[in-house]
Amino acid sequence: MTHLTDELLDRAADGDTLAEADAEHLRACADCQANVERLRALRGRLASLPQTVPTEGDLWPKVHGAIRARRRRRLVFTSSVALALAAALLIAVVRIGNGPDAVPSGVETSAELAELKAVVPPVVVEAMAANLTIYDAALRELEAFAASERDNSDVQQRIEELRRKRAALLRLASNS
Amino acid sequence: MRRLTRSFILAFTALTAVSLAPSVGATQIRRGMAVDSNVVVKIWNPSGSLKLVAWDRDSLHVEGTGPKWAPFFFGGGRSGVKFGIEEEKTKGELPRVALVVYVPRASRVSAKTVDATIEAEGVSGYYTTVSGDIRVTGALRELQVESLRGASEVEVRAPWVRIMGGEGDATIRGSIEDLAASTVAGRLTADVTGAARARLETMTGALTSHVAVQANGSLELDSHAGTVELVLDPNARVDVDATSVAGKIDNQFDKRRPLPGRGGKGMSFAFATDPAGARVVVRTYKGTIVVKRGA
Repeated sequence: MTHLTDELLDRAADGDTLAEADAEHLRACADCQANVERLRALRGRLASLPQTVPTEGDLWPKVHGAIRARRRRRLVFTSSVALALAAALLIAVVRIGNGPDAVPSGVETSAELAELKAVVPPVVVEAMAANLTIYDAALRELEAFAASERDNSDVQQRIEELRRKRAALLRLASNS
Repeated sequence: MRRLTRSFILAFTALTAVSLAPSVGATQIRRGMAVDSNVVVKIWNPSGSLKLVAWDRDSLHVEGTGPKWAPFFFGGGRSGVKFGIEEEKTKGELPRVALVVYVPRASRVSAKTVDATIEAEGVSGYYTTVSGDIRVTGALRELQVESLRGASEVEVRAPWVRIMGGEGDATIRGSIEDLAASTVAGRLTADVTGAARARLETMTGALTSHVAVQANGSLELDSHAGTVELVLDPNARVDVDATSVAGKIDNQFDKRRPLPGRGGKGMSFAFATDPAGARVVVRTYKGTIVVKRGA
């Protein structure tokens, strides 16, 4: 079974009329339906981006949110609506460019560990470093595989699942 | 004069010994109070050991030993009690304290440690540690276990169990209706009956599932790179769907052959017994899947 291409998924998410064969596939394929739903949800989120924009770690809102809540540190853009919209647009462009499922770079992981270090004992940071290394290696492996098989929705789902699990582990660590 | 000097030295030595004794000696902890049968208990014992025992009394009792300088706190009322080591007063050094706690059977305990082991008998609750081992046994209402580095061993009869591990192994036995367990690199082994829903996951750790699922139930096994062993009883009623994106599948349950995956990568294997039963889904990225016949 050949799934819909990214372009067709985009059009379906926009509500465009698809060719009968493609529309029929979409009606019958749960994977493609899920991809269309994800695209719509992503666009909904982008459209409703707040005028308050974190300056870093935006790929990890839950994790950073939890840590920041403890630190009571908030950065707020207070300039004009136009500036906020421009910032939101910039973030949207960067996100689309990198893909929402980009693997955390070594620098990002180091930053996460540094933030953890501020709120949990060193022994937790040490344990987390070992676990995150495994997650990041797995994510890199899956990203490489996904790049060679762009229409493989199973791999995309695995990537999203791994990212969720990684975030859950970080939450667990920050509560230790 | 020599006798006087000797007496002085002896007296000085004795006084020194007496004055030092409290700071290096151990202290006994013994606290107790009447509580509601469903009391909520919170315990923080970073290092040493913690043993929890359920008893059929409406009271809570704590016994323990630790260094004299261990800043132990204890407070609360009938519906909630909180006790443990005051971390702020330890100045970075964690005292090794051995605690034994007796709680009403219907209580709900939340216990946290850094490297202290946790052992619970018949006590429902939430147990979390960084590197201590956790062992829980008995009949429970619910159980949640989290350990980043330690091993978890659970042998219970419970409707709801959640286990999250990192590098340590997790071993689960007993009768559990709703089970979810995961590790990162640790081996995950489940030998469970009566499951309505079970989900077991690892990243690189080996996973062995011998889970008897109810006919209308579901079992999901997932690993990135670990070997997944699905053990099915000969009389199991199942509808199996196994896929490895880049790994192999070895069917030792019967003579059916798994199929190569798309583009020759990976393998897939699906079969259903007659009549079909529980939905069993197995997924790996590159780990080998082995389907086996149980005893």
